[in-house]
Amino acid sequence: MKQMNNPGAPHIRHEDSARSMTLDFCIALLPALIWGFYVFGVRSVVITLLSLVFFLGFEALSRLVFKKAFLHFDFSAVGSALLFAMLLPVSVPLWIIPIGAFLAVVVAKGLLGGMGKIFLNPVLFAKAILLLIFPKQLNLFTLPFSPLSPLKISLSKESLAPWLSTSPLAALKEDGFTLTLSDLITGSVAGNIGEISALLLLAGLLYLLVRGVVFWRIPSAFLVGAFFISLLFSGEKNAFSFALNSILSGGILLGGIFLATDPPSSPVTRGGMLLYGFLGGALTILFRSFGENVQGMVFAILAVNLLSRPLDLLLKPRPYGKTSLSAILWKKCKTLFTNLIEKIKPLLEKLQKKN
Amino acid sequence: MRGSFFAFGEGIEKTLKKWYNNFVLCFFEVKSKFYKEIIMALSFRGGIHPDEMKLTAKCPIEEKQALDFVNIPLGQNMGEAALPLVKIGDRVLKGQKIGEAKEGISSPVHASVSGIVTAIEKGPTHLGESDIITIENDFKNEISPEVVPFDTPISQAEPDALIEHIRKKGIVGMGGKGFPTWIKLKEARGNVTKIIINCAESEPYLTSTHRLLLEKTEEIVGGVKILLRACGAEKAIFAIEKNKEDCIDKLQKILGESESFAVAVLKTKYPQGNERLLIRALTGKEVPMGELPLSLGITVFNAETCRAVYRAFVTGEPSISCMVTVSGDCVKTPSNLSLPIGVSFRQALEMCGGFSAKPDKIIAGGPMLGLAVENTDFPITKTVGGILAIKEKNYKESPCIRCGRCVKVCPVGLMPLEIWKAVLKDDKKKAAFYHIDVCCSCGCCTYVCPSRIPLLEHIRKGKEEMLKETEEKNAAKEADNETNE
Repeated sequence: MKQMNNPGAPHIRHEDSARSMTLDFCIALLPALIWGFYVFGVRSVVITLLSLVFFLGFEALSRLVFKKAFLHFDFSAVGSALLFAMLLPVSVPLWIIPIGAFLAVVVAKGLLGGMGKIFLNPVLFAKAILLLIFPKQLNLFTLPFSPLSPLKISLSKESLAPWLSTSPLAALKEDGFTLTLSDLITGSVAGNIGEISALLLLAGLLYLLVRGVVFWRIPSAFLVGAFFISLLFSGEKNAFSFALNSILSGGILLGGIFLATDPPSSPVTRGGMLLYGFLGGALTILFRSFGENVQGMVFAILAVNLLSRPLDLLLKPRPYGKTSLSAILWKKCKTLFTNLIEKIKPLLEKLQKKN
Repeated sequence: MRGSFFAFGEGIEKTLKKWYNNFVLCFFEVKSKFYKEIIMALSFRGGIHPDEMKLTAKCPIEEKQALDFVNIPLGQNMGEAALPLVKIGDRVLKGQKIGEAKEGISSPVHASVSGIVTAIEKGPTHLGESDIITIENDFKNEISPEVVPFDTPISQAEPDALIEHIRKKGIVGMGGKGFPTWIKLKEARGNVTKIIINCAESEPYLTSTHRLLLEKTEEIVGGVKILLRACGAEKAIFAIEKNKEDCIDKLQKILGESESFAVAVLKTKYPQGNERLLIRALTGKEVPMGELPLSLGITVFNAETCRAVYRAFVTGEPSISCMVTVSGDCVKTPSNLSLPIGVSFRQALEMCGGFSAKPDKIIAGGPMLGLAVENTDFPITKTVGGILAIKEKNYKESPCIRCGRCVKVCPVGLMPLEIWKAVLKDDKKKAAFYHIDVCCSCGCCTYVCPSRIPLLEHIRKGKEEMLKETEEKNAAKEADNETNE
């Protein structure tokens, strides 16, 4: 009796659903975000709320336009909104937010095929285009605890002047780094709203690992790649402290934990995840060291996102009972080599006889 | 909301415990196998840890008698169904042969009660349609004169005679598929050095093997000795999961220091009971694709089959009863029953007190791989290991988010999301590129998918089509050969 059909099997399922996974993602972002609110004041709250409104609004609009049903509500739009807010400096003019939301939701997510088919991180796509069009506005960093007016749509240069500071990254590059390690870890530095506190970001990572939303491979490979390459490219400065400061500033933690691990754009195989993370971290440091723009993380992760499907194909897992691709290739190389040697042997012997 | 908060905290606690067990303890725990040959409790990669739900682990086995009538299907095993030997109106005795095995892969069928045959007609069972013999029980339990113990002592018997006796008594593999044991032993004669006794019950709810190991340990060990002699192997390894501590202790006490027996402790994971994965966990070697475990010199037997073999030799009783775990959240008193073959599902559920709540599904087997049964009048066959009445949530399918959990849990190292996509597009080349032929249909990928995609259903469909294609190609090749000759 051949019984292949068993509709409904298995009859039990794991309790995690797409909705609970995206909700966990949002919860993991909250500690760092709330610290950003504390350090940067009411204006950062306004930025986050506007970002939420526009992201959810554009999501509803794009579902109508692209005729997708309103089922499957999950918190992915909320997560993208919070991430986008965390990637903006607090002095940014407020009209940038709707443009960013449009780019992320309608252009990136909608046109590239919606949930699951996007091969780029939509938030990074939006930020990259904004960086190219409005570089000045996005690279103005203010000192922590500076009082900026919350509701003014765009802050004039005169009102910002007393509070401006260079970002830690620019300081690293030009040797003017004066921050201590504890400053970076607890987060009393200038930067984008969400990327200043390393400790809280790592707490978010721990939460995500325990809940099983994120696998440990991508964040750790990202950090290891960044650390290793920054050791190599430290130049005349003290290598280890340069590397450590590189990791803790500029949003590498935010990128490695929350942006590179975005499910639709990251690889699914074990080897693919490790290589993807390592390349992402390495490229970030390389773009920073040799590029004009200090926000190398955005472009590095976008570049590596494009590689995630090829990496999956290349580093497929080995199925049970079959030899892996690399083992087959190694065997072929060995046989080729031994054949070559056997062909050459009589020639060598002739040469020896002549001598 | 309160319930979901508790589940949230429990989920975190489970993950932390898992990390502790997997990373911290393995440095300190000595995985001691009492036999000299250290069998490392390797495991396979992936796998899942569903809630064990062993509600019946402490319930001793209850022997139940059949009710008014029994429906015995003639096709209970893998292969050909048996041919009926009796007519309507015949009186049969308990243990009498009522179905004759055909040529090839087949096994005889015996009556589980004494009484009069009232019907022989085609009917549905949970395995498909088959001829069913209905016997009206006369409650006399008269045992047939065919039920005679084996005459010679085992250590002096010829292996061929042992195999013939096993064949006569209709013993099939009781782990689920029902492959006739005598054919397995015949093919194993001279080819095997080790046999593995599969005592790993990794599906949730099922506890029949656990209770058998605790209560009838001597019978199982006796059966293993018979099987060792029948196939000519030298060593037998009992493969048990770590959560059955009491069984491990009892087995080690009974086996003592022995040259030919060993007890191996495996990690508690689903699907630990899968044959190919078990071999990898115990020997570190993998069965190459397309070949049987015999090529490595190993055969795997189920613990319940060993006990049936022992009883067939010591009392002469053929395969007429089956160990069933009736469990689930909708059953009043979940228990382990030893039921005669032919009792219906409904009668078995009533023996356990009936329903405490209306179930959404009644499953024959375990919740991961069992068949959902619509009609509870189906009869119990030799291979049913469990009857579950559970409530089920209604899951809606949403698009794949490429989270990678299916790749993480696949025990044979495949990428289920790619195979599913290839099957949806009917792209056979791509499915073969992603090794659809290696899939062991364990269901781990579907269990874990957060978008609730029915991966297993589609992958099974793809496998079926692939098999059909290879069959057609072979048939075409044979036709070509014939025309050439």
